[in-house]
Amino acid sequence: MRSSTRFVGLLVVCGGATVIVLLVSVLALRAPEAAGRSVIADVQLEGFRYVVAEDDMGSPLVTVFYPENSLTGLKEYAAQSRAEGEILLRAGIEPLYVEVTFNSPLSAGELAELVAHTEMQVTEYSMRAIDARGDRVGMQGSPRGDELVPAWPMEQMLRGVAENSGGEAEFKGFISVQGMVDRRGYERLLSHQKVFLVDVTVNLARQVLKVRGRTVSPLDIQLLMVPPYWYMENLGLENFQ
Amino acid sequence: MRRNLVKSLLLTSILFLALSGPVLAWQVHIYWVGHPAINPASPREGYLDGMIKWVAGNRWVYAEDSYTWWTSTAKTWILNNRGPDNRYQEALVFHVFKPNSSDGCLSVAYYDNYYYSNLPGHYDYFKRTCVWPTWVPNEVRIFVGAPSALKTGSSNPYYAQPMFHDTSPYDRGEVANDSYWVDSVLQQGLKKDYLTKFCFYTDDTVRAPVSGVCP
Repeated sequence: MRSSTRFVGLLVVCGGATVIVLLVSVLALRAPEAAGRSVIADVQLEGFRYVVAEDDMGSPLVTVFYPENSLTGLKEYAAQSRAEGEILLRAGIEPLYVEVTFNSPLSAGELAELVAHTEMQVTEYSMRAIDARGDRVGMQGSPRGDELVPAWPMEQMLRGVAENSGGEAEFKGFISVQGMVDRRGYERLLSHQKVFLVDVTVNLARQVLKVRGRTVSPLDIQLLMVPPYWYMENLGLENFQ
Repeated sequence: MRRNLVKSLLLTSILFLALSGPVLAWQVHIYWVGHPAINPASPREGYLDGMIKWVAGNRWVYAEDSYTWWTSTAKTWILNNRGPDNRYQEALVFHVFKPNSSDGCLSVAYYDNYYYSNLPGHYDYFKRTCVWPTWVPNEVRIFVGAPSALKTGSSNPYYAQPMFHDTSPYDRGEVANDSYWVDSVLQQGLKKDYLTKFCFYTDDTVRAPVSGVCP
């Protein structure tokens, strides 16, 4: 009796110790010092370059570099993105996580129409306003519940823009949107007359990570780049119609 | 179609309200100076604004850098040090921490994808300082993505305003404000210039720190 109690006690102690060791290991893996930062892949394509990396918390991110000051370069980036999208779909990879850049601002109604037509699951979008000093202002938002464009943050942001620039602000519209689409939605995006660029880099990064044994949702990968729309405005939006 | 029309009209009325309605009720407006000895890309000076706002039963902590401007010396440094492909960039950074700590782990206020700015070519990156137990981002970096378009001098002020969603149970906290020089590929802060912070409380008040400490 005494030895079986001792045995059970030993099991409890060993089990507890195992749990603690496992917990410490998991926490250590997530700790900044342990995870570190690393470039996982640096890929140069014809129209753009992307770098897949992990930040110090181990979160995946992909940074896109493109020929920002060149009309031809931006068009090559768009064309290469299209080619990459086709490759992904041919490999049976869908839905795709995309960032769509428009060639002119969309109204809220036009955005809602596009989202309905493509059945896009929207995660976020960007808007353009011009403040009282003539500066270009970018505003970012995301759907809340069933509302694609909730009213109150828009109101707050526009009020803030007006207040910061000491006068009236002009709301131009929606300039980009991010989200998930299936094959049909993707093809509809490509044929939309106000769509200039459908970036699919997050999906490429996801494949890179998968090859290295890490499976993540596209929603877990942060896409980082200077918004192409900024440079399209510099070069003249009429050149991207 | 009718729904779209309603949405368009709604946005138009929002714009009108924004231009004609009451101003934002910032509860603090704290002056700060940049430290070029720590980060040569830092702005010369600016203000950190803060307030708590309730919307449809949700508590939000608003933070804002306003009247923020760069010297021509800082801009020259940025342009000379941004590296190939503009890899190294200047960012205004906002962290939510427990008061008087660098602990973002237990914070309940998180970046929820809403911000605006007039910084040239700006974009954002958010960070989960602690993945467990909250799993939510407590830090956002807003980048000066197109620094060659940065206008210098106090007559060219910039602003950047993120919103942090605060979920129950509501807690005390602080929003710390930094200027970082960042390796954008690795999201590594190479030079970290602390600017200032504000403190927020469970009674929806927001206060400036006293001698750098949240009372």
